[in-house]
Amino acid sequence: MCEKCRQLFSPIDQTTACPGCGRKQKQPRLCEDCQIWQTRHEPQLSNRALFPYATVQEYMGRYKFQGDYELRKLFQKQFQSFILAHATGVLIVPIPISEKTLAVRKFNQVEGWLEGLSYQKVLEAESRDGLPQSRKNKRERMQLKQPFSVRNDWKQRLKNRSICLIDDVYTTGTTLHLASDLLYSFGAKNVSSITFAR
Amino acid sequence: MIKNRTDLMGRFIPDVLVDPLLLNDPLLEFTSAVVVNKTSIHCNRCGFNCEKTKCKLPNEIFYCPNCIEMGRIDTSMKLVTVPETNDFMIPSEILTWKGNLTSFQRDCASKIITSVQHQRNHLLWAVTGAGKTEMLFPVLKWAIKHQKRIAIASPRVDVCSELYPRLQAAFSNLDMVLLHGKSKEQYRYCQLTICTTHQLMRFFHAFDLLIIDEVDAFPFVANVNLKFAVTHARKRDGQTIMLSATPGIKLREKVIKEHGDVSYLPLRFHGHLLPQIKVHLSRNWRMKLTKKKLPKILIKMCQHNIAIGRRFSLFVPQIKDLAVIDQILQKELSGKKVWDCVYSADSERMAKVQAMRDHDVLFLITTTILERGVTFPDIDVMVLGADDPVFSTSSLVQIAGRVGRKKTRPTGNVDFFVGSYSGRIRRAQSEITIMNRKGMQLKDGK
Repeated sequence: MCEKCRQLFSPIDQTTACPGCGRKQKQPRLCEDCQIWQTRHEPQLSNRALFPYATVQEYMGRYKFQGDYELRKLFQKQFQSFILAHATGVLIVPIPISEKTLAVRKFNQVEGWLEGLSYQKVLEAESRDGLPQSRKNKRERMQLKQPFSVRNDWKQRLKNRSICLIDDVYTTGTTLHLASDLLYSFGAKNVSSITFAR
Repeated sequence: MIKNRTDLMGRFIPDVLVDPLLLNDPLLEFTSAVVVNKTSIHCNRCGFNCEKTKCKLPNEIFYCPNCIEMGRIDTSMKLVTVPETNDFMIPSEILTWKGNLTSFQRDCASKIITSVQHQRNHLLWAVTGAGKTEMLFPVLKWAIKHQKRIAIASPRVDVCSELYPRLQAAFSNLDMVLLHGKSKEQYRYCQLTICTTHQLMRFFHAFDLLIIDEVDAFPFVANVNLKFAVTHARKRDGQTIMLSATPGIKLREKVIKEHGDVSYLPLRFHGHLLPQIKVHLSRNWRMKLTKKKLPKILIKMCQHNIAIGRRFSLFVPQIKDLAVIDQILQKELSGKKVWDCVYSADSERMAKVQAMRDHDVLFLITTTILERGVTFPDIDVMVLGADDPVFSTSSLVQIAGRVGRKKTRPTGNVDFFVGSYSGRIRRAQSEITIMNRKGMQLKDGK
């Protein structure tokens, strides 16, 4: 990527981002959405995000939805150093995609960025019927049932572990909250998350 | 999901889009979508070759990054087709157009038919406003009558959108379909398809007659992949008719070398000559633009045109210039805003062009996207920065050719504002002069 293009992708300022979801803000206080999560969800999830969604929307369209896997390389380095800067000594767990989605897309967009980094495939996703997340409205998304399960070989190994979930986009936070619930139910000590965009 | 066999006739569709039940049909033919070679891959849909290291999916699957916007295809997929059978219902009255061709137009039209009947390709070289579409009517009528499957393709979506209603009116008993990236219309098996050259990638040995309008336009002119698409969309024994007002010497020579015919019409349908380009020197217009200033003479012309209600188009080199100029004009021109800006990726592009057509705006500020194919019958044109390399000689000739398209106003003004003269402008002027000289000779029967 040339310098001119690189400048189009300006990361979220972490010193002022929302401490709950990691969205870009002028003041580092809990945003409205996170205040709602606070009332209905325990424990709190703390998410860090690299880019504002609007900044990477077109990129995501081409990489994830059109499936131009080659584009993973554009942000591998930057995203991996972002992860390492905010999550040390924890188990790195990418959010999985369902078999059905994988059969069409033929890659996991999160794992594409993590190439070369050490991470663990702890979770698997059940194939959901009906619409994909990205085609639902906010309300429909927030009512989602648990779509994840822990892989058999990890069921006994999560006790007292600190885990950092990695996902592509934090939209309503439902996906990440559900995944963290699951990990806590298997005895995880602490679950945080990092997303490419918010 | 494609469920009917007819929807695959002459098509080139990834198997994942075809109903699994239909895939068992013995009439279906399969081709690998993407072929793996030693160090590269080859896409059978767009003809692109890509280094293996630059298009690899997990599990040793490779995809084509070039035509990914039409839906990604990869080495695990097949392209499906059903051989074309040309099973069309021919209406009893084919050509419902009641107009007449001029004797010059008739001459070209019959040369085209002769070429097609002798299985030869044809280049129709006719000046802007010569009536190229109408000159196609006789060969279309002949081809429809003879059960041929026909496509009219153009690199420009605006050209397609303008052709479609004209053809619907001229062949009102014939079912036809318009296909382009932005169209909502679903694919339908029809004897006549009007589409962008990109859409030809979705066809395989479908067309007996493939007509390419504005053959010298971007992106077709420089794109080997689109030329690849043309060869597989056309039947092996089919013919291509190319239309252009500004074919380069290379294209003309290529057609002749490959035993095709060229016909030539240097006179407009109304028999008047092409308007010549008038150049106004406006030094440092680009620098002045950054200081939010436009050439005074340009503003004066805009004011004059608004005062007399003269419709016009103002062409500019870059998309980013549009907003700046828009702003300056809002300050300089008093009264209601009577214009709009339109560019290639404009989400309201179609609506804005329609607004101009419907006289809802007096003028459009635009880039080279509206240089050809789109006709507003009674306009003048201005070009700011006509010396910018984005305007090729053929672009400039095309832009000048937007003027004087109406029988009742066969002339008009073509004003270019430039920092300095360029070779491209001189060549455009001399091309117009040559065409006009030949047009005069033709008129005088010499």
